[in-house]
Amino acid sequence: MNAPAMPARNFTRQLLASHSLVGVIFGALIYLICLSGALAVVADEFEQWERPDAPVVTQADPALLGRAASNAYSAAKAAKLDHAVFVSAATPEFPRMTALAIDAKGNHRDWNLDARGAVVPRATASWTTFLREHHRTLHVPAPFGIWIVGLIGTALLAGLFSGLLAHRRIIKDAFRLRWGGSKRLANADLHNRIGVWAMPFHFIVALTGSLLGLASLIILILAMVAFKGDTNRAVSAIAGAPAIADTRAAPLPDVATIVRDLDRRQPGARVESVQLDDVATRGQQVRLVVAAPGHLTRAEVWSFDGNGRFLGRLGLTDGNVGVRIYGMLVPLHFGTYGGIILKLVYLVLGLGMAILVATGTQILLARRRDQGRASPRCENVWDGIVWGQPVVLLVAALGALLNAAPPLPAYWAATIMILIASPFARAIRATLRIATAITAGALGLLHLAMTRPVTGMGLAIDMMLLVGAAGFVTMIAHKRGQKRCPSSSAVLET
Amino acid sequence: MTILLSLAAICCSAVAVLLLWMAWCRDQRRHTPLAASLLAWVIALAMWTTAFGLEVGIPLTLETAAIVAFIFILSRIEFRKPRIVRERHAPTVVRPRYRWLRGTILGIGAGPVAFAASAGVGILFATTAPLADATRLILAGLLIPSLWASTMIWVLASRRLVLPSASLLGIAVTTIATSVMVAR
Repeated sequence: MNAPAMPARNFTRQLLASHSLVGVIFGALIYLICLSGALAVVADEFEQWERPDAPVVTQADPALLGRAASNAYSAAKAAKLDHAVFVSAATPEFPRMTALAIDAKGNHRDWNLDARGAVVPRATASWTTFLREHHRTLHVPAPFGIWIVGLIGTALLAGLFSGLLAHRRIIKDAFRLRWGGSKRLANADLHNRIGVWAMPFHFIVALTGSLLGLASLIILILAMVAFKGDTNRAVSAIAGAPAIADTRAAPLPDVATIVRDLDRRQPGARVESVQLDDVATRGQQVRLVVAAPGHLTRAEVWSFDGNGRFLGRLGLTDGNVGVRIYGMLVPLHFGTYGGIILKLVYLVLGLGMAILVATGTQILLARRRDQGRASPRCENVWDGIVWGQPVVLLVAALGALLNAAPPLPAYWAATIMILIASPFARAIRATLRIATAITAGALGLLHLAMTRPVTGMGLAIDMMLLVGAAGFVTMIAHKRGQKRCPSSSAVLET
Repeated sequence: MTILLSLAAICCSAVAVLLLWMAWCRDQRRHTPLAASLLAWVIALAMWTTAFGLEVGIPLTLETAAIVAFIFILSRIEFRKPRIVRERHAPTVVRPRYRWLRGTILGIGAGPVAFAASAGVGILFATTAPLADATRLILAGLLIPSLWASTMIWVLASRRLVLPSASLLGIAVTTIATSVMVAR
């Protein structure tokens, strides 16, 4: 050991300690967010799986969009929620049309629209909604929920920074994955390989997630000083100028004509959604969100006034750097810029991120065991969290499918039960693996048997559930097949 | 055409990973496979860009590289026999005095103080940068969580308890005060 190497080694050790500390404090929450986030990437597909009975709309021409906007406004007016109306047109990934109405206080209601543009009751996908909210806010009321998730994103970013600096061998061992020997070594290999190869993905997702979560807080803080407290100016700098407040009554804009005008300006433009702000007032504004292939932002926003006069574009595809980055945040975070294949890539990389977090804490616990400071209860609790979350998410989905329990109480009841039982359970990991196999298999089979019509998406997800269940059964059988060491003073690592 | 280009780009990524592995295996003369690997990735990027545009091409290159590398590593996984580990007895652990006080100071330093310092730098940037409003806001917005994460690690990794927190507090006060003065 030479003298100059000492400070570097100490620094590495301190970084590793801080990396561990971030993992210990935030590990469980990061894991929950990563797992639900990975699944939330395919939330649109889950919604189609959960509610295959919702009206399918494959294309939305100008006339249909016009009818849909008019009908949605009538429904919004009847519900006294007619401040702003959003109509989401069908996309290749999500062949459904929905309408959302909001009043000035933020109260809202949504509906489905059929292929003729008529408003029909919303085909509520309760589990998918639960999953989205779980990832977005952890079900904590606004605005704290989203801030907490933003803070967790920052902690993940801190973990990534410290991990990159602390693990000096991650490049040296970049191609090595040892499995089956020392549990700690296997976990460390998996942790470091995922960490190094998916690093750009992890940084992008953590940074965008952190900013998306803390955006309202950050904008508030920045606006206080940089914009002299004018939050509206700060928001409109990014999201475009809001409608001019002029509450005198005006006729509903002719959305069909506006969409045709857009088609003249940009032939072949595909409208993804229509937004009517301050609707039926003289200050009303129509915003068309138009698909922008070849851009990360996925869409451009075109604004028109109530008379159909073109006001301008937001500039998500060709505006200043700030607006363009703003447009990229959500697509980069959720992988919505490359169709279903990219979503699957995001799903795999997102699950990899969850494994990264799970193995991180397992390494810590294994190190304690190796040092003779084993904490079996902590190990059990961590196994309960890691292996329990897939089960409780499946149980929540099963509860929603059978109309037995709403997903949120089912999720928390199952989570709390597992957390209470896990410190005292003997084989928590094996038990939860069996439970995962059973619930995944049951969910796939019951969904196949109970829901009609059977769609391609539904069938694909059911098959994946059954394959997943079979995978877990194989894993359980493999683990059972491994011999256990008879010696009482020795522990066989598996 | 898009599908063909995508497949070709994935093949290029696979070749790049293979070349990188060849470089990794060697003790000497690594430059040639490393350069070839880099070239293969540039070709993959060019193909993704031709198919989907530069904005989409860059993340696609990075993400497919990760997936291809995982598949390659999984194909070379080294299976080992389960190891028998003797249970050890815990050595006497000397816990530092005032653990809770230390934890609280660390928590405050890595949490609110580090956030205040990061927000201060972000505010200063948003106030003074000669850029468009949206650009100043978004870049400052990206700066704040990145700096917070970095300073969080700095505080937690530091051996000294008070110095990082005090420095960050100083940065927070200075940057916010400067921003307020500039904004006036």
